[in-house]
Amino acid sequence: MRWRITAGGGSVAPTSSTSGADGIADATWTLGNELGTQEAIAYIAGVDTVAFTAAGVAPLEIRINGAVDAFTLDAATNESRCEYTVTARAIGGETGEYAAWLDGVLQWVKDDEVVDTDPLSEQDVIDFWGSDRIEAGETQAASYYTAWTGEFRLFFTFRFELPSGELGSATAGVACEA
Amino acid sequence: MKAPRTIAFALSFAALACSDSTEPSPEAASLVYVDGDGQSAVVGSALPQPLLVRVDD
Repeated sequence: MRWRITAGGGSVAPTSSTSGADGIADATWTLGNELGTQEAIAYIAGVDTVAFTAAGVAPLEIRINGAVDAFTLDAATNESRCEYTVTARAIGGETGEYAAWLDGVLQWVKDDEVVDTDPLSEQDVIDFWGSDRIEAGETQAASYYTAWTGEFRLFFTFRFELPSGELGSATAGVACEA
Repeated sequence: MKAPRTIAFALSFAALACSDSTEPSPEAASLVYVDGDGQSAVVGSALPQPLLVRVDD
């Protein structure tokens, strides 16, 4: 009997096989790069066919956005307070897959110049997000930053490990301005 | 002198028939689904479980 891909690309191995003593024949199916339904068949030419379907899903991807919730500036002292929310969104991936936070960097920018760069340890990042992982869906973290120099911008870069073992990073920025 | 040649031809044909798994064996009657349908995986990766069928003679 044989195995063959009929939709979606990919490959099946072996392409031909014989059944064992129990009559069972097996094959491993590596999906193609098309999202959605993919199809394969087991067949004996001119005798019988069994069809299989599988769903190809996009790899897990992490996106981060920042938004300012409130900004206050004391004109007399030039003291400012910036309250913000950072949203991390995990898109794609299989059910139950997640990315694991590794570490990060916080940059404080004033007048388009980086004034300060603070590394964020893995524990800093976990504390910020409240979890050591980001799973499918949306996760939000809120905090605030105070400065004695008026308006500024904050940029967060977080690093994480994807289910594949690859490392990824995502950056969000917030403009703390009146 | 023809007999050995006929035998040699018949033997080679028999060997070819046994190794060609695309041809149905005289006894093969049907394939029966066992497992592996309806899975999902990241595109370009292997499904977690193998495809399984049973060959019923």
